[in-house]
Amino acid sequence: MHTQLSIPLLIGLLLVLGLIAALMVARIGLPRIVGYLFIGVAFSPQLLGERIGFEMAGWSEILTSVALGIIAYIIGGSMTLTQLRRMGRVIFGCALGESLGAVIAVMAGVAFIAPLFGYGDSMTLALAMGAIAATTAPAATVAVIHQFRAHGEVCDTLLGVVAIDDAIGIIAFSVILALLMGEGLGAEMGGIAYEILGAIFLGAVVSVLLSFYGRHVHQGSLRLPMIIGSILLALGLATAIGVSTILTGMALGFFSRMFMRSAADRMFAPIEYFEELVFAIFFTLAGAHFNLQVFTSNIPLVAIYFIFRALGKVAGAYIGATAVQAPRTTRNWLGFALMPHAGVAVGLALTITQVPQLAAIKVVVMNTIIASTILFALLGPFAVKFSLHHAGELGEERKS
Amino acid sequence: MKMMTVAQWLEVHPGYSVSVRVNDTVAQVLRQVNNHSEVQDFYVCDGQGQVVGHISKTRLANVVLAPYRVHHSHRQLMERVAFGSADEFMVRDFPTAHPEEELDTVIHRMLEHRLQDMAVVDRHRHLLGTISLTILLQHLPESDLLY
Repeated sequence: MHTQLSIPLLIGLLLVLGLIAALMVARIGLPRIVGYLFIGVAFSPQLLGERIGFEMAGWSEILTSVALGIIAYIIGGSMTLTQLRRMGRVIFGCALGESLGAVIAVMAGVAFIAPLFGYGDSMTLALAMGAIAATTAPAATVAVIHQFRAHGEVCDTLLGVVAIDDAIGIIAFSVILALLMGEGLGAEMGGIAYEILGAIFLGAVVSVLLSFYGRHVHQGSLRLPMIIGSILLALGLATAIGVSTILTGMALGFFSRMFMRSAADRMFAPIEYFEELVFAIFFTLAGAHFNLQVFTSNIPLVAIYFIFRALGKVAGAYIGATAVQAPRTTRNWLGFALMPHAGVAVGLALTITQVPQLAAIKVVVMNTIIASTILFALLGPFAVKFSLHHAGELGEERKS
Repeated sequence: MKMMTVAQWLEVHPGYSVSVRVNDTVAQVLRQVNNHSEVQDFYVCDGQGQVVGHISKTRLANVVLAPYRVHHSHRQLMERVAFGSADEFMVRDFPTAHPEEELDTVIHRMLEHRLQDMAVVDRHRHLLGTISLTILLQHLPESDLLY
């Protein structure tokens, strides 16, 4: 029997069942994203999707775009210029090194190794996969540091690096996506500059409105509608004038924080509660893209992405740390702690599935990222522990 | 309590307010907090003695005790790594009361903003005292009770 379920019912089912599954897997020590993905996969076309008329076209794009806009706003608003200046060159050098290292390594791996496994148009695939590789999931890193009462130079640098590398990852993604959507590097430099600088300008303009409101409205109940309204306004305008939506969201967060100066709690704390909802949306939707045939036929690509991202993180962190003359332990061990890879990466991969110019590779990219994310989510915490153990910074493990 | 101005209330219940300086480090603010353990809200003053910000004890605890938190938002993580002086973690735009205002109006504002204490400032934003919800409750006449 083929029944067409309504969109609110589909979204409700995905979220409610996803959250229940996430809580269940968390009880047996697995990351919550596994639960979200599991439910998403259950709704994929080859399983329940076809039978219950699960159709993502028409609504998943807007949902993903808004969800990613919220995350970009949160990330942009997480930092101030003063904080960035205070973090110092070691954290910056390491963050730039490991982020760009992962991007370049994955691009190189996919461009040169993937063709050996029969992948055509490997340059587009390489750029798309590389664009996603930079971000690191801070949650797993912080959890391990907390669990083992870790402290020391590597630990301090690691926290700083994971605090800013999602921002670097989003900027790298926006630039590469602009390139992928254009006609070629030489011809499209003007277009790329317009997409990036236009997004920053647009985010700054909307942030003037939002920060004015934030300064003058003290009622908590009125803040959240204005924040969400401003994010939607910025995203809508970005789409209308053809600039990067995700970078617009990030610029909106950054400049709102800057113009409001230190009233950050007021304009960011309410929306930070949405983070889990956003990740639940990302992972369940990502899971719904699951295709067994694509999945099994792309195991080599999953391996390439996994290995080269890991190599890029380790080598990039080493090069970045060496360039800024970081201590030897930081140079040697920081990169291993940067393996976790989850929420933002999946959001970026979902964005790629919505780009018409990348329609030919979207299923491959999504399934590769799903598989890699699971691997990094399961192995990432061990890598963080390995790194901090060798750096001599692990303390006594907490009992619970 | 009805038909009373803030200035009249402060004459009888001057409140207890503690201020810190805008350039004080987190450690210096913490020292002040520990010296006045009964106070929940701290006011940040600039070089001219004008109130420019507000720090609640909860806010300070969130900064100082961040290493004990298992989950961080990006903003909390950044704050943990690069926390600075009082002016970076205070709130600049916060509701205050003025001496000539009716107390009724100020109570409404305190409830609206869920404040434990509200700073009373003059027109130059110098701190005159605080109105505390706890003291208001202690001195609420039975005739003012609605039920």
